[in-house]
Amino acid sequence: MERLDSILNSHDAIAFRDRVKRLLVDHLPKHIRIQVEQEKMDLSKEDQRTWHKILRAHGLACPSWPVEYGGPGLADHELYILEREFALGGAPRPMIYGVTMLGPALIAHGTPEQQQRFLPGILEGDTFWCQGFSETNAGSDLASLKCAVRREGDEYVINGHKMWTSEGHIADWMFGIFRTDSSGRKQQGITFLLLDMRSPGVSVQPIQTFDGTGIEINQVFFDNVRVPVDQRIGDEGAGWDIAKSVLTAERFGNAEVSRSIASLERLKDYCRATSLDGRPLIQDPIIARRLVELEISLQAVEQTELRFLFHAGDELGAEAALLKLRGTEVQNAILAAATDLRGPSASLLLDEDHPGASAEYTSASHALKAHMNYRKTMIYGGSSEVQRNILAKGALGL
Amino acid sequence: MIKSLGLNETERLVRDSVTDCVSDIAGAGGTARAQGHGALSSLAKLGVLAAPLSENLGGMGEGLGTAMLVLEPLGRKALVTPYVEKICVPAAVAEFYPGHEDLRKHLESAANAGPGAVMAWVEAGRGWNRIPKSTTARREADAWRLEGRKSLVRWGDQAAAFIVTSKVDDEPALFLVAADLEGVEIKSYPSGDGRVMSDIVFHNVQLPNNSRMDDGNARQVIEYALDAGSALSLAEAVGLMDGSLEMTVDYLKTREQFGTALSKMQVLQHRLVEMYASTECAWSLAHEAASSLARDVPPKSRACAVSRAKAYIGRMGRFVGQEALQMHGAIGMTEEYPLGRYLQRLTAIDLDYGDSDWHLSRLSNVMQEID
Ligand SMILES: Cc1cc2nc3c(=O)[nH]c(=O)nc-3n(C[C@H](O)[C@H](O)[C@H](O)COP(=O)(O)OP(=O)(O)OC[C@H]3O[C@@H](n4cnc5c(N)ncnc54)[C@H](O)[C@@H]3O)c2cc1C
Repeated sequence: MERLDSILNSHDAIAFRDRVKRLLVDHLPKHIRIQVEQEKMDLSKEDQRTWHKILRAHGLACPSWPVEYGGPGLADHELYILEREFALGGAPRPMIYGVTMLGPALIAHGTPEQQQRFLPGILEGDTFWCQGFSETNAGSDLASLKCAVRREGDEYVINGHKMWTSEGHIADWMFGIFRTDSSGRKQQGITFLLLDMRSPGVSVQPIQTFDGTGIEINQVFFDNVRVPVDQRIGDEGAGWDIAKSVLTAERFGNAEVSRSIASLERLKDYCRATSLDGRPLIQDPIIARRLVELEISLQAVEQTELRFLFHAGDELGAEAALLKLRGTEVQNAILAAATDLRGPSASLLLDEDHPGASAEYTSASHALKAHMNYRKTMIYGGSSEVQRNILAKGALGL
Repeated sequence: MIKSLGLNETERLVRDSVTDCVSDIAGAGGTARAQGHGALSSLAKLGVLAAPLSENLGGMGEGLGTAMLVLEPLGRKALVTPYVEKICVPAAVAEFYPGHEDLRKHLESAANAGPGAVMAWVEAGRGWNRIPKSTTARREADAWRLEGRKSLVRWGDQAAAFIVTSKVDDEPALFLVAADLEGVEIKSYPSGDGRVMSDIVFHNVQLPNNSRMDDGNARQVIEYALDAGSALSLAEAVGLMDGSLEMTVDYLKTREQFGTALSKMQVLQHRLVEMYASTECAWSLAHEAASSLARDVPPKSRACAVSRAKAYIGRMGRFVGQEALQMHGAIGMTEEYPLGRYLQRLTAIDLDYGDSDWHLSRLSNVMQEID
């Protein structure tokens, strides 16, 4: 039987991998790599943009986009290699809202005018996007959203709010789904709009998370916000399907297998470099066993991802949900271990610039922040429970 | 949601008065640290902080386990305080040295929400090893000289003195060291659950003759005191577990998605029940561990009861906190909603006084010994 990853080891694939590796060594700024290695997920706008522009200069920005829209036109296995090497080399995740979510939706559903207007800003890393889907009372049951829009001539007028908007405080534009009609089924009457966050009537209220990582999510209020009709993607009332395609765009990436491989490698390095009563942690059979168990769980997801991606043909459907379910589980298990193995410094939580803190304390603090912060990965992007529902229905036919 | 804490009439009265006293503070906002301090001040006025102390120190004289009556309600409201460090652990030491005047004064101070004394025992690179190695004391005329460093001493920043584990001629010893002595250097760091931990360096500190507390029995005292700290922190953990569970049950009753209250979904009901079952079992083990602190319990039985409870509750506490967060969804991730504090504190309790792995290893070692 052929190895599931054979496609990643062809001559061309190896050459591509080398190219990506070299790019990272030569061009990834150290201050950015360090933050990624500290498991910081939300980098500043400036750092995200800096990295994006480096990628753009090397023809690798918006890696999944087709060539005619400015993407590099990579094959699936090249995308896979790129993501893996970026994670292992400490490169940031892509600017997800523009690059991964909106871009492909615009390419699939936008008019040529809309594509010409909005894609270049994403490609060049100049426009920062956020995603306005969830509301206070529309979480897992997203289709029950209420944020209301009425038509007035050539404009839509929005009143209401969006909740949990990541990066809303630094975004230039939002793509979101809004209710234009509440007479039919809840999935009907939803419209997909793009709006300038500087429009009169938009206000952003940042929300602090409990984990000490700072501001990441926001509540966004709309008070008679006017949006030109030509900023609507697809037809009025057809927004639900576009939103669903945005949510499944990252069918594989959100398992974060590559990121977890990098995290586990870092944890193993820490266990080699750190001693307890004179013995490296990794020589403690209990710790070694825990690391091995994490590695097995991770391998199971990785090999399943490879099989689904490269050996399942076109039949793949709901099963992909198990990658997010299992992937985020093992990711959280790795990050929990990274805190647990700190010994007495495990609970430290320091500000970025705590005076005189040792490298050991700073790294314990980053581990705790990540351990707490990454719990979110099992909540957003379709919670683990929602993934199980998808699997029950779609994979088991229940 | 625990059905019966198994308390007698007097114990119930004390616990209820603590509950009443702290309930307003938790709702009043402010940082975790400010709330914890407020709780201790109010409880000091009520006179219950001294509960686990001997009668001549204003306590109930029923043993250290009485501290559960204070800690469980504090945990339930996620009020993080130095109660274990400043009352329980020093009180355990005082059981061996009832005549030690300075220690007695620090306990009195702590029982009035004052600075008190905390034990300084962790050494860098030695994990949870309880026996001192790199901190040493030697005699000098009719004084002592103390040299070495202790890592991340819990609540070390506010203490007036430290109960320092140290080596004297290769044997463990215990010293009471005032924080303001010359050559004592303190550097403090915050923790995720709202505590402060301090690295303390003793630069050849000159100590008075009477600062040595032990009479050669330090090993036994250190084990007892740290078992007391381990065991009693679990009462707080169970309070936190039950508080998280209650918050989640209440939230899911009011949270509607897909046209129904989430609490009506059987899959979530079962998970709440798992949290509940773990919490009930946790209280039983915490209770057993606390009662094993009675002085007539043989050290080995005590060590087993404490380590069993610590390993079980450490893990189950985090399980309950994490499940509570998951079932809340995004609201649980916010600073404003109190749940994050519960999870931080439950995590910190598992990772203090020896983490689950440490206690499991200790139990394994006992099991391997031939009786
Ligand atoms: C850090 C963070 C960033 C986010 N960023 C964004 C963003 O940029 N844009 C955006 O639009 N949204 C964002 N979200 C919101 C996210 O999409 C929602 O949190 C998610 O959809 C869950 O909704 P909820 O939080 O309201 O939980 P609820 O839907 O209220 O669910 C609560 C709990 O019940 C479970 N549950 C719900 N329904 C069922 C069911 N039928 N069966 C079993 N269990 C069920 C859930 O899984 C969860 O455990 C973000 C969330 C977080 C935490």
